[in-house]
Amino acid sequence: MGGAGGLEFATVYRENIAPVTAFFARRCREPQQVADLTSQTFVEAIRSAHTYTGRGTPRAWLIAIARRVYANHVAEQTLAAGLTDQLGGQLILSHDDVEDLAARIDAQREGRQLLERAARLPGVEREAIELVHLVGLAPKEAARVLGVSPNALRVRLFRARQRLQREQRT
Amino acid sequence: MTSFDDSLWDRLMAEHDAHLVALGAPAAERPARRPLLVGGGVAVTAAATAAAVLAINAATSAPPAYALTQNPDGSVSVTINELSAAIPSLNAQFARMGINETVVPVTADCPSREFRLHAYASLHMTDTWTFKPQDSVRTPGWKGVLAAEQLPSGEVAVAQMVVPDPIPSCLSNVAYSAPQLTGKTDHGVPMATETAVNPATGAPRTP
Repeated sequence: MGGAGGLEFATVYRENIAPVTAFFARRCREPQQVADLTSQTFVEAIRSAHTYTGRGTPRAWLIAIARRVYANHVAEQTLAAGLTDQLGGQLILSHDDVEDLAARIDAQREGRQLLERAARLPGVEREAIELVHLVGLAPKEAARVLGVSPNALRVRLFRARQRLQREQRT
Repeated sequence: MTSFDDSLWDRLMAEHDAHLVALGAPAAERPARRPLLVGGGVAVTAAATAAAVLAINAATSAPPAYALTQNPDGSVSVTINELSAAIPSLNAQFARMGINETVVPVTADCPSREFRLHAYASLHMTDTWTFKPQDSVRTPGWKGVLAAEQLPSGEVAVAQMVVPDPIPSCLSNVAYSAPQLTGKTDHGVPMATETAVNPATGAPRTP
């Protein structure tokens, strides 16, 4: 399995399907949407696998793809609400798949609450909180995903934590 | 891994050769695939991940038009040798066995040109195709279909999908060029990533 000299995609999938699914489960309430966006992320990952440089972890690389997929999804929804329903093409899920995904959405309740609390923070700070505290990336990895320097990320993360703690106390 | 994880991995292997992919490695040589082109309001379901090519040379020692086996797990294995001869009897056999699937021929001259292309209708090379009847995933108003095309090579290309009722008598075939990701999504299906080409005219066509 796998191409010569590279990290097998099967391993990457197995080790990262949960955090990628959770990423979308924090944003979507419908199992169908979670399934479709997760699928799209891995399809795009396969198609761009040769561009992986190894400078960051596969998880950070996948989450960066997931962010783009979700951003496109939101833009698409905004520009053409309901378009996807008209176009069809949904993945059909088995009952087990739906129950599985519903459980994962439910399991992300605390993550969604944290994102809601962080909603008023600047974008980078909000995403830094998620990537470090929910996805489990190291600050250095989160910085790479967000396109900022590791030092800037640490400062943003520190400020974000302080703001959240202040809000929690009030 | 969970049910969904396994389902998605099976799909990624079937449609995108995920098991042959490695991060950071040059794109591996993958088995040649001929995407099946499905048109017209057809929603290729997750079941279409099991799309397959039945690699049968119709010229060899006059084999039967088709062979069908119902497996203990409810799946059905089919080998099609001569599509046009197989369709009527295969559909009759499905009806007798209570299998709610209908084989519909895919042809270049089918008038159903409005069909949209779905990347999930990619194909595999295999002699015998095993599929699960779509009873459990059927959406009201939609019917399970096995879109089948006899290729010039003698092979038969098959994709499992659902179509709006009533079932059309044929489906149009449209080949597409190499996918170019645009970043757009269509419920998980890469959208606007292919430029469809009608092989009969060669005219570009956007799904």
